Parts: sequence; structure tokens; C-alpha cells
Amino acid sequence: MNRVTLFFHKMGSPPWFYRVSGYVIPWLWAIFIVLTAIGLYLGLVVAPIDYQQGETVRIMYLHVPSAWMSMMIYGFMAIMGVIALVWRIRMMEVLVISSAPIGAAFTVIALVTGSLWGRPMWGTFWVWDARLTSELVLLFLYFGVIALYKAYDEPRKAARAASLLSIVGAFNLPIIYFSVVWWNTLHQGSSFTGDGPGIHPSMLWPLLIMATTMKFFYGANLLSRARLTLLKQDHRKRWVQDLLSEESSK
Amino acid sequence: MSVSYSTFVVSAYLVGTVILLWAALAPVFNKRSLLRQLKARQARMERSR
Repeated sequence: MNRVTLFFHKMGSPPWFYRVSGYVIPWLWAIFIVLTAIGLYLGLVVAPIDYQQGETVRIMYLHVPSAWMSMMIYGFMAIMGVIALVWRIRMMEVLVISSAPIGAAFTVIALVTGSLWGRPMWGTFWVWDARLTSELVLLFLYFGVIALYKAYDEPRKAARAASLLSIVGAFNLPIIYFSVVWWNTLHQGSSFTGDGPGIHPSMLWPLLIMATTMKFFYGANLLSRARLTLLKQDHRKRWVQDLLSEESSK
Repeated sequence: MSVSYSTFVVSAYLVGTVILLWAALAPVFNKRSLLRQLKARQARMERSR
């Protein structure tokens, strides 16, 4: 077994995952804080205002990465859901249910910041446009996954049901992505075309940095939530009892 | 009454900050509370032995 395979095998063990993630989380938060500071400085101070949108263009440095994250996290949940159901890997179930609140948080940010941008630019906070509506459906799917998990008493059964909903709900991702192509929407199309980004580097860099920093937020938050879920599910198991004894003796 | 564009920008970042802070801190507080409960239960069980 090579090192990578061995690493993933070990990550399937809750005590090992709990211990290793405890070392990784502070580093992820540190990178997130540094990158966010750089991204916000470039986006809010250095980047120029748009000649049509004025200052409101600065909302994009939060709105666009959040919208990307909302879709990316659901995509991950669907992939992890397949792995959880096919190979019965418990850690994948834990990662699916731990991802849902983070994905919901990013979806709410994308919807609210989009509305706050839409009011001055479109003259309204909300329209039943295909992109906005499909993003709202994504939020309901996240709520559905969370509610379904909480509806069962048996955690593993709950996680498997939530994994299944994650897979079924993935049909919405191509609808969100292609909504601006398939329908005549008020929401603009992608600025990243096959000919390269149609954005000036002074605006592109803060956007890319903010998009990167959100990945670190997701990583750190996911691991924190997964550790909490493991503690809740395994609180009667030996490794948690040992952990508590260790903490008490400190 | 016209609202300046900056108000929308500030509001967007405020909402984003609050939601991300909640997302980041919720598991920390929940874990603390859970560990406290589990330690109390463990102590009770040891006393009863």
C-alpha cells in the first residue's frame, strides 16, 4: 500500500481523523486570515471602481466567491455521498452532514449580497430570474439535507438519507451554472469565457484571492464540524473516553 | 431618499462577516458545551463506581 492510499485508509478511522485534523485546523485558519486580509485590501482599497457599477462592484469580491463555494460544496457533498453509500465509509457520511451548514451559509451570503448589489444596479432586491431562483432552490436543498439528518434518531441511518438527498439534489448544479445560457436572465453571464477572463487584472486578482481564501475557510470549518459530529456520535466509545480522561488530566 | 452605493457595500460585507463568524464559531461553542457535558457524565460515572 503506497503512502497516499495508507493516508486515506487512516483518515477513515475516527480517532486518527480527530487527532490529525486537530493539527491541521489552526494552519488552515491562519492561511485564511492572511489571504482574507490581502484579498480585502486589494478588493476594497486597491481595485478601482467600475465605470458603470461604481462602488457596488466591490460586493463582487464577496458575492462571486460565495456563490462559487455554494455550488462547489454541494458538488463535494454529492461526490462524498456516492462514496459513503457505495463503499459505506462512515467518515464520508460525517463530511457530508458537516458540509451542509457551511454550504447553506455561503448560499445565504451569495443571495443576500446579490440582492444588495441588485437593488442599486437593477432597481430591485429580487427577481424570479432563473439564476436567482435556482440558487434559492440550492439553499432549500441544503436545509433539506440538514433537516433530514436531524429527523432520524439513528445517526448512521440519518447520514445515509442525507447523503442520498445530496446526490439527488446535485441535478440543480448544472441548472444554476447554465441558467444564464439556457434562459434569458437578468443575471449576467459568466465573465470567465473560453477567451480568458474579461476582467482587468486589478479586479481579477482580489476576486481570485477571495475565492481561494474561501476554500481555506471551508476546509477549517469542515474539519471543526466533522470533529464535533464524531464526538457526538462516538461519545460512548473508548477513544472519546480516553480523550476526555486526557483533557481532564491536563 | 437616495442611499449611497457605499451603504450597500458596507451592508453586504457586514452580512457576510456575521454569517461567516457564526459558521466558524458555532462548532467551537458546541464542542465546548459537549465536552463539558461528557466530562460531567464521566465524573458522575466514576463517582458511582
